[in-house]
Amino acid sequence: MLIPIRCFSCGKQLAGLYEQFKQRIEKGEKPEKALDELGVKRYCCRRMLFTQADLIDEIMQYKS
Amino acid sequence: MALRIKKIDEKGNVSRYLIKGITTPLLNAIRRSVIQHVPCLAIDKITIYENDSVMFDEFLGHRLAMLPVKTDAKSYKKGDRVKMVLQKEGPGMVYSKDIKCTDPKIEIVDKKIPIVKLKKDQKLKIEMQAIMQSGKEHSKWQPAIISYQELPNVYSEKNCNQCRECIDACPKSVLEIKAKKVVLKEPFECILCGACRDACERDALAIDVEKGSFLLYIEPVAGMPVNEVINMAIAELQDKNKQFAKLLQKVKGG
Ligand SMILES: [Zn+2]
Repeated sequence: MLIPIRCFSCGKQLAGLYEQFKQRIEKGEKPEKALDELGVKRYCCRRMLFTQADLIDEIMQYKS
Repeated sequence: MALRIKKIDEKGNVSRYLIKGITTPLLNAIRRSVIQHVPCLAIDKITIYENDSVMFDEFLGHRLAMLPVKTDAKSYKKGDRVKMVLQKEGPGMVYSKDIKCTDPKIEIVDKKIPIVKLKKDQKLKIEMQAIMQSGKEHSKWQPAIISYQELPNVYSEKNCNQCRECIDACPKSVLEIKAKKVVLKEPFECILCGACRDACERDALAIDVEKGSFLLYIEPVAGMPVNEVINMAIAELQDKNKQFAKLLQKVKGG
């Protein structure tokens, strides 16, 4: 629902990079390039950012 | 062979070292000591006074526990605690920068970690305790991500005809031809994927490792410098060895 704080496999803290990553993707940058430049090297960490689906805004509607 | 250590580079907070003249058991003992025995701070006990967000208390507690806390290993010893408070009212995202600690030296390593999102009038009031503990208890207390690999060595056999198939196949472009032989130009960048060997039609390429040479990667998580983490790991290891020797003496004597 919200980006996990750490990578499930190696434990690197990634959530702090997520907003930067998202902005770059929205600008049309390639995820590959954005991840490289953010210093996310291992593929365990790359999939964390790459496959994130933000659902919190939708789920928030069900709580008054 | 004498032990030699050289720093290769430091990118962001990832440091790489080349170590020569060491064995896998010794290097792995150091690695495991870093992972298991070097203590750092992590949020452990939390009291939730108010949580109006969509996230369940347990979910929120887990997220808080995962936060990397900047650890001052000089003034905090194993078992020490420090209090933190998180108080925020919506609307908007709650970030790690909103967490206030009673000790100004202690803070969350990254200020931009999203913790939870709040709607208008939703409130969050949490009191937390960060505890100094070692990774043996839980991986949140692991002070650094540390790994090693043997130093790769790629070379061509006699039947190589310098067709360059392997050089084009390498995803990291680390091979080159020197004096009619394929050699590894940048051994620190080779990922040992084997694409070069698969591309060779004559079976002329060999992938090997240099015995006793290792690449060590260290990425501190809890804001402690690399040498501090390693020194503490080695001190813990020495301590364990001494205890073991003492116990062994007792067995002999009895
Ligand atoms: Zn990872």
